[in-house]
Amino acid sequence: MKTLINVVFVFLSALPFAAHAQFGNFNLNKLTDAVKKVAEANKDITEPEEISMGDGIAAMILGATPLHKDANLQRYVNRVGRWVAMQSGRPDLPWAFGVLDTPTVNAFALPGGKVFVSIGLIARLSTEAELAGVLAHEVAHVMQRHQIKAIQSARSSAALQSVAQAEASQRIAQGRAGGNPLTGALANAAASEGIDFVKNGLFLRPLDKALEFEADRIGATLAARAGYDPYGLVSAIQILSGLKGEDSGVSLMMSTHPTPNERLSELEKFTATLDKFSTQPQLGDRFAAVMNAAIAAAK
Amino acid sequence: MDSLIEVPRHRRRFSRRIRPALIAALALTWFAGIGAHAQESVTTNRATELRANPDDAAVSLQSLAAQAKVQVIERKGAWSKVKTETQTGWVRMMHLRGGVTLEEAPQSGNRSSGGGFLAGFNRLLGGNQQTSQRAQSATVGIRGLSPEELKTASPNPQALADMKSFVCNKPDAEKFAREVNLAKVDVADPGEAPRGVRR
Repeated sequence: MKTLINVVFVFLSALPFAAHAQFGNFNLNKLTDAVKKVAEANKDITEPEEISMGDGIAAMILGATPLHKDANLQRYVNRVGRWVAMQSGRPDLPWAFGVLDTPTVNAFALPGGKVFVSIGLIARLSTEAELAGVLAHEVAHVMQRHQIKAIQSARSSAALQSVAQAEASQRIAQGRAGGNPLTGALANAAASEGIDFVKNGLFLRPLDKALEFEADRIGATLAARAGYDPYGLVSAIQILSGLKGEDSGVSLMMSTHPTPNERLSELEKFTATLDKFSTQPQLGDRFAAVMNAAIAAAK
Repeated sequence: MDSLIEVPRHRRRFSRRIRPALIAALALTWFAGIGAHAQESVTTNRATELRANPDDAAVSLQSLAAQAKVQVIERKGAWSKVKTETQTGWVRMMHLRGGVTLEEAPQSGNRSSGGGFLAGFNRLLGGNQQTSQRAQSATVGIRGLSPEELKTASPNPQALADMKSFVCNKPDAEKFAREVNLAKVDVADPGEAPRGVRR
């Protein structure tokens, strides 16, 4: 009996070493850390954090692609965009619209009210109502906080999956404690999380199809509220439907959105509403004047 | 509108003045992989009617089968004005799929549906003219917005500040809208209508 007790004692005293061998550097402090990180990851993202996060993502995109040089075109797109955004549920965000100088066909919204549209897309449009429709789709993503919801779910799944992989949460914790090398608008934890969000490729993950359809429906509604023909968005999507997805210039857009034909079929469900406002102006002339001036200025 | 009269004029301008620019644009887009040449023609996605006016009640000029090829010359609200092989009339826009071919893109593209300002595309590419050279050595993608380039970019705070310098405040946006008589319209979100309730 005594021998048996001794054996059990030896076994028990050896347990911590066995556990150590099995789980590597596992210890109680790490576990507490992980719990904290998961809690941090699940915190609601405040509006100022959302805006800073958008700053971080925008700075990354602008690090990869320059802004178009035509100041007149940049101001025009901001005016159309702001007028549309004023009809949304978030009219007071610091809305900023940027035209990117790339032949790529794409447009995207960032948390907090920053929206990019490529000159490759704008050059394929013919009216202000089409541009308003494209911008309204992006404004709708911001209004519904689609990206923030995606970021939040990426955060918490990363934190839950593995402590080591919860890099994004870790960065925000570090950032909140200080120690961020960037300055100005980017000198905060949320902006650095935005930067990481692009670096780790999460930004390129497509949103749920249902959210894209919702952005189309709300986008057409916002464009109509702004006084435009809501078929401008339909027309813009139809232009996309004529482009081949395997071309690299559109592949990123195609890989992150449902097919244009699916989008048109979904929008068709709201034909009654669209038709009611379809006699509102398209404003081809004002759009053409800005575009022709941009072409002339670039000579 | 006057698009029917304008078509031949576009064609003339197209061949004389735009051809060199177009060739350059095509060369550029070829290298960039965008392929304006890859645009497909417009087809009907169901059997539909070609009508005399943009109205469901207007007289039908021709019954079009599904997958019928048409050429879009104008858009008006829910309707596209199209040319078939034999006639010109109006088709519901939702019954059409596909963009306009580059050959049909008018230079002052304010009346067509698609094509836009591709004729001036190479000039519009402003500071990104080096794209063609870069793209020759790159295997995939276009400068700036490929997944790899985004992931490996360095943040550019100066460009962010530049972008913010172009923003428009609310009074300016209201003035901009008034200039062309755009006014706020009361439009309910059709997605929020309770089931079975007609608006």
